[in-house]
Amino acid sequence: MVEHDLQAHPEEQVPRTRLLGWVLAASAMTLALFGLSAYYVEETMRVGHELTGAYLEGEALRDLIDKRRQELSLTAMMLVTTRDIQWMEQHHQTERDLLDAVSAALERPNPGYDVDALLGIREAVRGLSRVETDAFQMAGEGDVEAALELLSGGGYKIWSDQYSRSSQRFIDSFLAHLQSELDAHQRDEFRSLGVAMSLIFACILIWLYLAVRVRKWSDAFRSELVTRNRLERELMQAQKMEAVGRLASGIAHDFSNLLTAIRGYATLARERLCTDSPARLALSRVEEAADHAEAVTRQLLIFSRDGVAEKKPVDLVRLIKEACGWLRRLLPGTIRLNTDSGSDTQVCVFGDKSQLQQMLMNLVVNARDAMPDGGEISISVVLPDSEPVEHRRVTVRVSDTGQGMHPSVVERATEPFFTTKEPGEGTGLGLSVVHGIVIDHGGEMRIESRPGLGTTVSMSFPITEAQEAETSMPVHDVPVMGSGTVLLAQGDPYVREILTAALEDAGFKVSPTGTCPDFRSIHEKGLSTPDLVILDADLPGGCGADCLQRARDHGYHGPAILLTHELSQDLERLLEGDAMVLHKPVRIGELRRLAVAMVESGSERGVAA
Amino acid sequence: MNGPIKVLVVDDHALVRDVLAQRLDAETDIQVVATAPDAGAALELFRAHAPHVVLMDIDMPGPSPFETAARMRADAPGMKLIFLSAYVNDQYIDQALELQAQGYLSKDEPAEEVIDAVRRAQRGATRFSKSVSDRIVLEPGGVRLSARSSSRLGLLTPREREVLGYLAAGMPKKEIARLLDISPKTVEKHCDHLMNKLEIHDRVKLARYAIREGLMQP
Repeated sequence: MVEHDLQAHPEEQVPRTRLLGWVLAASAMTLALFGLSAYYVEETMRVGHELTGAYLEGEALRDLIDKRRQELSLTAMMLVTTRDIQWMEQHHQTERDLLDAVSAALERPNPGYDVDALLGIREAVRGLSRVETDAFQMAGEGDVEAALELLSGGGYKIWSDQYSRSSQRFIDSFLAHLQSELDAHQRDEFRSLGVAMSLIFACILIWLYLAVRVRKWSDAFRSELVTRNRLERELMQAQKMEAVGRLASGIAHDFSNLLTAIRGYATLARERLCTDSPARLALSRVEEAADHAEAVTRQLLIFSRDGVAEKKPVDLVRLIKEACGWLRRLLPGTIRLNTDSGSDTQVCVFGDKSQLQQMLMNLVVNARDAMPDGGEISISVVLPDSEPVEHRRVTVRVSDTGQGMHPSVVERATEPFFTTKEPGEGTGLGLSVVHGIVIDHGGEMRIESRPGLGTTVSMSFPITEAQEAETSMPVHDVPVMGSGTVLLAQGDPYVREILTAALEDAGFKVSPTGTCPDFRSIHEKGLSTPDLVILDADLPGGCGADCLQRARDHGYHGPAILLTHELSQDLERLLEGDAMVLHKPVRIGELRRLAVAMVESGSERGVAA
Repeated sequence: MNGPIKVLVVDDHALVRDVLAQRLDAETDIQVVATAPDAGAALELFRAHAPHVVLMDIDMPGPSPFETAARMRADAPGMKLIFLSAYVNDQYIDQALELQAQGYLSKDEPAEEVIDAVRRAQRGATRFSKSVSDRIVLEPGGVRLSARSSSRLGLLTPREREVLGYLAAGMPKKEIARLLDISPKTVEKHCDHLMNKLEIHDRVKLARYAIREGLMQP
């Protein structure tokens, strides 16, 4: 279905600042993740290095303790057996190394070393040393057997066992410490891994969210581009229509001037001819043709919205119901006209009734011409009920089951003088006039059509509240006419002239005066016997209310209208008899209506009296 | 006034200008003293011939017809001015009212209407088409053209609004008189006036109206 929307739609904006915010957030999270990861790698390496160092140091000490112990036994045995002084030196050197290493370990605080075990080792070395010294002494004295027995005896064994236990304890505690360090580090690693995983998860979520948002914004951007392109096309179309409207208006204006001349000269010529001249009829035909041409120029003026529109609240439901009768007369028997006015309650728009009727007529005639073999025309009123009252619009739809239009035809359908009808069958102004009327009424128009499937023209208008329709000041379709004499007192000469003309047009005989003394003089000398007195409250030479009071004192008991721009209850209280206070600004049409009503009610009271 | 009404016709279309001049000249009490194709030429001819009535087209090339008319008014305050246009345009009518023109006629009007307008203008009377004159609004400072309709509630005086409220609430007129400390006759008078002003002569409709206008709660 081709849609030709003739009204702009609001654009959708992409929130670029929000996009930037999300990108920054995602980048910050990623940077934080990398920073944290680098910190944990560094920390892990540091801890690993420390643990490795401690392990190597401990391992070296353990190795020294084991090996030196064996060396001590070996050198002691060799010294006793060989009594070679070289073994003595080696033995003492080994002992010193061992004790130095243990002392150094004790002096350097290391949480992994068991101090008691080290003290136990030192004590065992010293105990062994004492036994070995005794054994060396025995061997030196030549009692090798006794020395060997001493080195394999219970006392030596006791210290040797203590050495082994302390050494084992040292090793166990050292390994246990390393294990606990490793465990603690492992726990830290797990914690770090948890944090890193959370960060990675958060990053992934943010980037995913960002991707989704970018996708959405990208879609919105694309949609905005499409909307902009459409709006640009519509703007170009509107500008074209505006230009065409100006052209049409100019043509209508010039054409109207020419028609004035044609009609004027024809009238002059006809009046100068004898009454029995056959040329009179021909000239009458010229005048009629000029009138017909004038009607065409009026159509052009409606399209270009230069024509006068008398707008007032119009009940669309009633208008359509009433229009059905005369619209049917435009249609052949093969075409059925359906109307659905939506509801029985009134739906008012602020508009020109005759133009709205013309809008319906043009659409129905177009629909009729699109259905040479018959069909159905539907006119419906659609009233949305969900929108706030101030934004509510009523839509009038006119659809047919006719030939429909090609998209290229829909595009140009509202251009003036564009027609698909045969030459001489249409002016090409029908839809352009409808468009002009809709726009002039603050409306929107949409044409939906598909070749072979008919056409629907939808026009939506802002709704005027019903109360305004009932209570606003209408321009009466039927002229308000009265009779009688009106004594008018109005200070401003121009306003007085306009009021006089308006009241005379309503059938009154008007005696106009400009000042309070003039008013009094006319009334008191009996120069006017008014059926109604209309006074301006601010009259030169006195107050209108006082003037009226003087007239009452001199026997005027008829109705009166006092025009004022300052309302006070005192003023109303002061006025005697049938006196209406009317607040300015007031429309002349309204004043004329009230004048007629006042005179009528005055005369009814007179008759009753 | 002795002698014919002297008229100056200003229109840029020669055909229109001539036919109008001929038609007006055909009347015994009207004499077209000059015709002009634009406002500039019209001012010179106006000063040369001192016409009683100037019949001026609006859509013409050259100087603004409204400014020219204002200068004519300044030269001769008693001159009468009738605008003639193919357009019945609110903006133009407003400017014509500001210049206190004696008329604003559409070129659709029959020639007799133009002739009548010239005669009325000479008498000091005005001639506006009914659709225009109905929309002219009397204001404290003069007149202007109103584009939109407004609520009739504005026509009521404060006392009438008060009475409307009580009346719509179904209060008897005697009771209203007692409440407002005025005579029943005065209440009757207020009722007549407000019904006339609102053009509603039914108490039920008045009640509905008063509710809609917020004068009373339903």
